[in-house]
Amino acid sequence: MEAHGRLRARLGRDCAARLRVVYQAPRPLTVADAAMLPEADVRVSEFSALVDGARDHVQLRVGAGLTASYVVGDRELLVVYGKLGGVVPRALVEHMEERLGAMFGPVCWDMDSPDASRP
Amino acid sequence: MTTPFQVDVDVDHRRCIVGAEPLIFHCHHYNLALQQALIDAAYGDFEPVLVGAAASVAHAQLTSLFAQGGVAGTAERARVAEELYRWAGFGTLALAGLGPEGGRLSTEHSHYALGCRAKQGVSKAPVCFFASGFLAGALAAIHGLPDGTFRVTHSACMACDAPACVFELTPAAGGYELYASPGVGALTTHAPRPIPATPVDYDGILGAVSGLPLVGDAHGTIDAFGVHLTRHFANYYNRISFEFLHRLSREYGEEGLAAASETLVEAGRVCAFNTFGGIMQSTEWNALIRPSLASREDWVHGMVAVLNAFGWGRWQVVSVSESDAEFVLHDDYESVGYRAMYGVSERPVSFLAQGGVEGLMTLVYLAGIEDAPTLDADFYTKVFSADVSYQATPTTSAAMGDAVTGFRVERVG
Repeated sequence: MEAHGRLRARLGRDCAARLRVVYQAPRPLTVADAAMLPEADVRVSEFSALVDGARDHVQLRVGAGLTASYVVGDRELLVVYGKLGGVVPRALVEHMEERLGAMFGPVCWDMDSPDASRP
Repeated sequence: MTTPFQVDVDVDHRRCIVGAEPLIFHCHHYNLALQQALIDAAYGDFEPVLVGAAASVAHAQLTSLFAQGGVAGTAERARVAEELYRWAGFGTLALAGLGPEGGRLSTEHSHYALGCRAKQGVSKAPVCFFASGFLAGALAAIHGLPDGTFRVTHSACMACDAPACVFELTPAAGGYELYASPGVGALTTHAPRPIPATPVDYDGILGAVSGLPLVGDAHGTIDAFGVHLTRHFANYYNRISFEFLHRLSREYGEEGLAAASETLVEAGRVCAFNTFGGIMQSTEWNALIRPSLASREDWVHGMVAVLNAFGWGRWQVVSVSESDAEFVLHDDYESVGYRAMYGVSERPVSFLAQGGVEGLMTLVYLAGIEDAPTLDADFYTKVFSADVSYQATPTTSAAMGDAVTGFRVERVG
C-alpha cells in the first residue's frame, strides 16, 4: 500500500518480548515533538555535543508502560509498550496513537511486519 | 534524584564502585540464563550458593556504605539499602517491617521474577535467589550483625504466578553458603594497545554512555536498549560462576570442567546476543554511534566502545575482520575476581568475555544486526547453530598471571 506522507507503523517484539512498534512520521522529528505526550518524562541526550557526527536523542517514558525514543532528524519513532513480564497496556497504545494521529494523521499499518495483527 | 550513597567511577580501570563493591551492567537475559544454567547443570542443590553469594555482597557493601557515610540508625540504614536495591534495577524492597527478629516482606517488583516471566513464562519454582540473599545480607548489615545471621524463605514468587514475591526471614543460621566478598580486587596499570584505524570515537562514546541516567525507576527497573538492565555485583557473578566451575571440576574432573566452562561461555553468548544486539538496535545507538560507522568492523569497535562503560574492565579491539579478530581486556572483572577470591588460576576463567566476543562477531558478521532482525529464541538458535560460526580461544589470561586477558576469534565452517 502506498503510504507516502502518512504516519506508518510496523509491529514487532523487542528482545524482552514486549510489543515494539516503529512509527514512521511523514516528516523528520524534532526535539519539540517530545511534547507529543505531555505527561511523559522526557530525556534529551545531546550526543552531537559529545561525538562528532552524532545526533541528538529523545526518550519519553510514561511510567513503566511506555518508552518512546527517536533520533532527532529521523522520521522513525520507536515505542515499546508494557513492562517486563507484563501484558500489553492497550489503553496506553490507544492513547499514544491518538496523540500521533492528532499530529500526523491516521496510522497506516504495514501488514508485512512479522506480527501483522494490531495490538 | 541524588542517591543516599556514594557512587565512585574509576575511569582508568573502567570500574563503578559502590560501598567497595564493583558493580557491572548485565541484563535480565544474562541474569536468568546464567542462574537457570547453573541450577540445571550443578551437581546437587545450587540455591545455597546463589543465596549465599548475594548475602555476602549485600552485607559487605552495606556495611561499607554505613561506615563510609556514618549511617548509624536502623531506619536510615534500611532506607539506604532500599534505595540501593531500586537504583541498581533489582526491583523494590520495603524493609520497614523487618527487625532484628526478622519478619515478612512482599514486593510486586522483582527483576528476576519478571525477567523469568518474560523469558520463560510461568515457572514451576521460585527464582528470586538473589533477592533472598540480598535481604538476608542487608538485614544483618542494617542491625550490625554478621552475615549468615538470618535464614530466608522465598515462600511465593511472581515467576510462579503469585501476585507478589514473598520473603520470610528468621534469626537462624544456615540455609546458604557463607562467603567473604573480596571487594574491588587488585587492579593493574593499563597500557592500552593502539586502536586500529576506525572512525569510532571511543572516548566520546564512553563519556556519552557513562552520562546516560541508567538507574532504576520507581519500580526498580532500568529499561534501556530493549532489555532490563541491572547494576549487578561483579563478585556475585564471579562467586556463583566459579563455585559452579569448581563443583563440577571436583565431581567430574576434566569432563566436569569442560562442561562447566561451556555452560558459562554459552551464558556469555546469550548475553551478547540480547544485550549487545539490543544496544545495536536501539535509537541511542542510531543517534550516538551509527552515524560514524562505515564498515562492519566499525560495528565491532562501536560495541566495544560501549562496553567500556559497563564496568567490565577496559576492552580493546586489537584487530578485526570477517575472518578473525583479536581482543585484549585489561582488568576484566572475571579474572580480577577470580584472583581475589581464589588466587592465581590454572586456566583462563573469562567465560562471559569469551562468549561475549563470539557473540559480538556473530551478530555483526553472521546475524546481520545492521538490518535489525528480531532477537528471539528462534533466531538465536538459528545463528548459533549454523554451519558457520565464530570461536574464541583465550590467548592470555590475567587470572593466570598474564598482564591482560586476550582472545583470538576465528570464523570456522
